[in-house]
Amino acid sequence: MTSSAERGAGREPDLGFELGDEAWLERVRRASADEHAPAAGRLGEYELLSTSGRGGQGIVFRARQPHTGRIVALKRLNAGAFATPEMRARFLREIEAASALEHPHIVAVHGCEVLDSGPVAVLQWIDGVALDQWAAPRRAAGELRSIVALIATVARAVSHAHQRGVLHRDLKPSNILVDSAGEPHVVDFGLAKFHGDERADPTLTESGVFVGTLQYAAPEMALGRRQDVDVRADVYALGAVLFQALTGAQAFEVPTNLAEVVDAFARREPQRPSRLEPRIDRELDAIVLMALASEKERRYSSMADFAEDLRRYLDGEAVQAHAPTTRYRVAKLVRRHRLAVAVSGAFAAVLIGASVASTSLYFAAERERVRAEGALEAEQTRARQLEQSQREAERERIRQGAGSELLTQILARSTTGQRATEAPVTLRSALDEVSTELPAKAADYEDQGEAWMHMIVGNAYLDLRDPRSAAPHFERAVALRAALFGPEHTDLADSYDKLGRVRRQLGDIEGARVALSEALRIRRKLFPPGDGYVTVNINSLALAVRQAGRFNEAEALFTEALQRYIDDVALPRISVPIVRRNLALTYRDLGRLDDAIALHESALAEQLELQGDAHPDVALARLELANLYRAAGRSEEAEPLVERVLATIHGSLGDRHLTYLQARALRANARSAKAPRECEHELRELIEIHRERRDVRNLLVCLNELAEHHQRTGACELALAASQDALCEAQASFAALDPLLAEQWLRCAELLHQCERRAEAEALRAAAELVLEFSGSPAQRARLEALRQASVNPR
Amino acid sequence: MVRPTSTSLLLRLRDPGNQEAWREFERDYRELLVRYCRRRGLQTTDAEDVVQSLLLELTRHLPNFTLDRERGRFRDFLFRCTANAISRWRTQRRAEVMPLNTTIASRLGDEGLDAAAAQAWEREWIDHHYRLALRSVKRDFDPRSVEIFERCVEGLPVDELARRFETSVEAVYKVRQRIRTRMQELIEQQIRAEDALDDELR
Repeated sequence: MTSSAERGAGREPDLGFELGDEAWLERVRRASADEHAPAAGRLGEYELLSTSGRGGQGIVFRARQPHTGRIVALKRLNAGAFATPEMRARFLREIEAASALEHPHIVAVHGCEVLDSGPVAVLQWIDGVALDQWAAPRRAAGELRSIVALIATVARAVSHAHQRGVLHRDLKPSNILVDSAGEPHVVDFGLAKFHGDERADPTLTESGVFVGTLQYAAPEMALGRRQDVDVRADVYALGAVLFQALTGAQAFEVPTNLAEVVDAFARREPQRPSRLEPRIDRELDAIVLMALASEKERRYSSMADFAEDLRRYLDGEAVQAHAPTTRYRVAKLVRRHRLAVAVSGAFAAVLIGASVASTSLYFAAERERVRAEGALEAEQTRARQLEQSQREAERERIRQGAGSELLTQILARSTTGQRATEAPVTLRSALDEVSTELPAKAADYEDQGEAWMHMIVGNAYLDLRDPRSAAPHFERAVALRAALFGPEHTDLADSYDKLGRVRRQLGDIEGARVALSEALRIRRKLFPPGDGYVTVNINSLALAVRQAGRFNEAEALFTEALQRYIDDVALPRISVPIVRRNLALTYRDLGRLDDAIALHESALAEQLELQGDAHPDVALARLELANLYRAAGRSEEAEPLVERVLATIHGSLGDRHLTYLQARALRANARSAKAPRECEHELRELIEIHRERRDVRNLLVCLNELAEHHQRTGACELALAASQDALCEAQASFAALDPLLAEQWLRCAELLHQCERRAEAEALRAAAELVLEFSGSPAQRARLEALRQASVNPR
Repeated sequence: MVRPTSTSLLLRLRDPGNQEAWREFERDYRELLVRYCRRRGLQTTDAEDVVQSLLLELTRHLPNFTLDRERGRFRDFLFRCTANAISRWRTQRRAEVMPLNTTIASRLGDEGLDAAAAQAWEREWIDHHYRLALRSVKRDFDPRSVEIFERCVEGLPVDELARRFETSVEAVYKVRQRIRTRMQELIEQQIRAEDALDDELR
């Protein structure tokens, strides 16, 4: 192995400045290329012709479709830092909805594909310019009517989408392309809600990107009142686009200070466009101002109304929009009678003498349509889906913000006090500090942010190998997420998964089993059948289930996991023999020693092939197999395996490596009869080492080996001393009902019985039986029974 | 020997509680680390997870960061940390081993410091310095020059650029050369600061 350190010492890196200009520019291009950009000039089977735009939302490529040769636009959406399979599925669903829109002025969505492991929307390619670019020269030439006509066309197109239940939500000049024939095309329909990719880079909220989209956002949208967002938010946005196209100025200047934004949005009323552009007449003024009303009840109640009023204006008919003062008085009147009507916006339209449009409000219209078809349920589902996806987007924003801020704090704090004069502050204490402040901090981020913060802190503790401190954070995250999302959500599954793993590390096997099965239940329901996360989850649940003594259940789970690891080529190949070994050891627990050995032998062969002779994992597998041989009374086959482990591990990892120590314990056992003195010496040395390492589990193994050794040589009291030593250690470390403690009771009882101390043996046997009756292996239950028989019928 | 300036980021990270420095470190280095993880075959989402864990780990090492010449420079240190973080992630992602006889295995991961990894790292590391330099250039040069240069990078021919910006072909070449020279200076400076820090810390 050559590290770059070795290779790089004294060698100058190739910085590329000796290259020719073109090659050098290619270097710059590579370094600054979007990390999600494809490696070469292809994306899947598509040939990329050019990049037509990039920004916070992702990249658009002009590309040639395979087979048909058709030129298309490929929009590659950044999945966001924490995309889940569920988000991806939702993205595909929404593309599907958008692709159902067929309108000459809406860019066609041909479909969606997953290319280079990212979702990509395939769109109609429009050779055109953004609306503001198209409008500027016409405004200069005084052709205001052509601008109004174009916006009227756009309004009709958007209305078409509204009537099919699709909101745009991100109408702005760059989303309206005008082709060389002067025809407008609305792009990004139904994709808008996935564009919150500014989230991926929290600094962007400080720069112009986030602020930029606010310029066209209706107040209810900008203020995050998601439940208030309906068709009239699109009316507002198109009004703002019209204002800008006519005057060249923004309808509303967004304050640069984010703190002022909320206040400004709550109170903003636009100025009359005619003040900026004198050629705008009173009626056009009224239309623009009605579309831009800050209270949505005062806007056009539908995009169709807006389009119709623009048509009336162009045809010289009387427009529906009135001077704001009149309009405002009417609206006030309506509010006074609000109780009498269901939808005040629609009622206001009646009062001022206009016909009520069927699409007065998106939900109202949708309700009508659905009722006509007699399927109210579908509408409710749809509304729920809409709400769900809005919440998703919001959630992403919150947790991204919360996570980054918290991380920065932990990073900064853990470096505090590194000066010699101050007490050293470790990452640990920084974490402790942050975690006590969490409840107060979390108030700023709502529950989703709080849950996310607990996950981060919990994970950090796990990184520090401190599961005890991590556990309460995962518990809190589970509680928060269950309250927020209900019983089924991928985030909730993640929290349960972590909680389960932590509990297992802490020896809370039953708690681990419950949490991991809950994670698995949710994931099985939400993820596609063959999903890799489900597979990993099955294996970890199986481990907990087996530790809890439910061997039949564990066998079923390991069997399923094994098949899935074999089928899923995306998961690491090495997992296959590992799960095989897990299953083999479960066979042993079930008393099926021959099956266990056969399966384990094949796993070891596979692992040898993948990892080679010297790999520590291979050594571990050899030890397992040696143990199985021993249990089957085939010690002569176990010995060469142990010797092999001692030889390979000592060479590569040194004599303090755990696997090496375990191999020594096995070797000592093998020497018990032939070289009793060496055996005892070796075991006592290992016992001291494990005591020092505070490794209770391996300490117990060695103490028990020592007890067995003394037992074999007939030194009953010595054996008993070792066994009692082990019992003390186990009692200090394990919970009262832990099967490992019960095993220790049983061993001690067996020895006491042999040493003719029947009464004590019986007491311990009864204690062990209490636990092992439920969670013991068949072998353990057989030993219990034998001991009971022996004590009832002493010879 | 060039001594690092007091504003060297890596040096400021040793200052107690310098939140700004950590923010800067995250901003500058996160992209390098994520890109490298992506290049080593991780999905973006997984790469972000690995890098988060890695950044936390670095808080433990960086403030007391010392190097001996035997072990390489800061970039080699960062490479090793990243490779380890990827290994740990790979280990977690694959199946867990059943504890045998109540033993818990401690294993090494598979992400070795092999030649391919080292090569990928060097490439990402150089790209990283290009990006830092580009950022300075965009801040320091006049917007028009920056725009001309950006169009150059996009691959627009020089004569087309001259036409579009209503200037001469020579002027376009000059802008490009000026920025190229400046970038070379900046990158060499950045690397010197990184390496000089190593010397400072020894």
